[in-house]
Amino acid sequence: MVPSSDDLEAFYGRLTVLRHTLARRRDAVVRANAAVLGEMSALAKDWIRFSQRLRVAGIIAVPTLASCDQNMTELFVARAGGRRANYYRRRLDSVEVVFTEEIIVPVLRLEGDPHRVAARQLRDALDPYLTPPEVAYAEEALKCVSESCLRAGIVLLWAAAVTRMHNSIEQGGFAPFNAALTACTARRGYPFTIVRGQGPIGARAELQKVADFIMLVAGMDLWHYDGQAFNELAALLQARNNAAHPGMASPNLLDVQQFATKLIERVFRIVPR
Amino acid sequence: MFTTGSQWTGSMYDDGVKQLDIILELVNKCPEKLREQCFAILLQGYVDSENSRGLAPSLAMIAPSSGHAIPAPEPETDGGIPTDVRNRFAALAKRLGVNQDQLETLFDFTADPFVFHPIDAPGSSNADKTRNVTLLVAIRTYLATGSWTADWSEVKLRCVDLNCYDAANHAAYLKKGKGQLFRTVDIGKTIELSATGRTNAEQVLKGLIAST
Repeated sequence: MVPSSDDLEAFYGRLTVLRHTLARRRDAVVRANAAVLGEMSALAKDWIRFSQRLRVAGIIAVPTLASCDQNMTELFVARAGGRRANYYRRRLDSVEVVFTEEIIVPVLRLEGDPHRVAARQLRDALDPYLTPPEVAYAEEALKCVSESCLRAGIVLLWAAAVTRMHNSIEQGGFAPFNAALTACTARRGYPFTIVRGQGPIGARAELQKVADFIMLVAGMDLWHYDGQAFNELAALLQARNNAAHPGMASPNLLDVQQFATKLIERVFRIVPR
Repeated sequence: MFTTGSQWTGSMYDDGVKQLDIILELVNKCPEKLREQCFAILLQGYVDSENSRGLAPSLAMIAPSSGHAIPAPEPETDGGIPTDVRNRFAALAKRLGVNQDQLETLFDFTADPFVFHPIDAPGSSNADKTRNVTLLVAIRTYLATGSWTADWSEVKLRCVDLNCYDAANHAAYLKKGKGQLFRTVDIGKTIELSATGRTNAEQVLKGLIAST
């Protein structure tokens, strides 16, 4: 996980304070028991941790990381003291001079990337409504959104919604769902004709084989939403299907945000947990 | 667990053969080297038109006997921008007393999602600028999602871009607006605007429109 810009700024603050402290000592020898050495050792260790995480993320130029690593390692090795304050200060200077532009700003750019921002906003919006099994799908969806894999994001968000519907049907027992299917079968016209031929369900495994569209039709009876809500849900399923089939859709970020908003409104707020 | 798109296609491509004939006729009128490209474009256009037709024809077949009246779906997008977003632009333009076009020119809709890049952050000091940038980030979020919030990292990045980022004091500048402009200001967390903040955000935007 990439260290946050807030963590890096806090680190930068400590580094600056330490450099000032050492600058006041000019070229005096820093004795082995000086408190500043303990702080410097801790700072160097923290940097090595940050550096490894930044290197994996691949957002900082390797020579910059290598140079900072070199300076920080030298500080860590010299933690026993006995060197002049200038020795330590020069190394801190070298890190400080590149830290904001070459380390903090690239991390800021990553954090402020619109897709990552959207993923965080979606997480904030979804969090109050999701159960742990749904969160598993939603988190994968948000990872996809962060990485600009928007079609995959839509498919996985729909999976979270289907998880809610399946769990709700299972929690309520299969009888009400079967009754809803029967009621739909008795009605004429589209979309109820689609439900015809769908036999009763007695187990989760059977439920998983029921087409999502049939579940949405039965949902009008089961979860008491109206035709407009059904219509929107059917459009969401269509969006999901388009996202899953080659050449059918090229959603943008706003489409995904709208998709998630509608799912919250039409599924997570309505279908009981 | 998932259904496929095929369950929807019962009424789609009904006139596919006829349309294909028309497409081929048009393609044959093109110069030889452009035919393949022309065919792809026309076929894509037909497929897109069938997709956008979506549910409407099927829903027209609904029998009213069930008591469930199912209206035809509203179009989900308008020129690539979701209808909800367009509606928010229209409502905001009306509140500000400006033309919707004037409002839209501040944003770049070719980016995904649409972005807002003022040349300069409004305000007389870094503190003012930081708070105003936050208001502008929140107004963009509102237009995109309907939520009057500003993402902490997005605010920081905009401040960096607009040269008003002061790492040591950034959080302090924002916390000064807490209670008045902002409901919540916690480091690393989403900033939520208060009612006053929303009004101020709209006024800052109106000022930018007036200055362009």
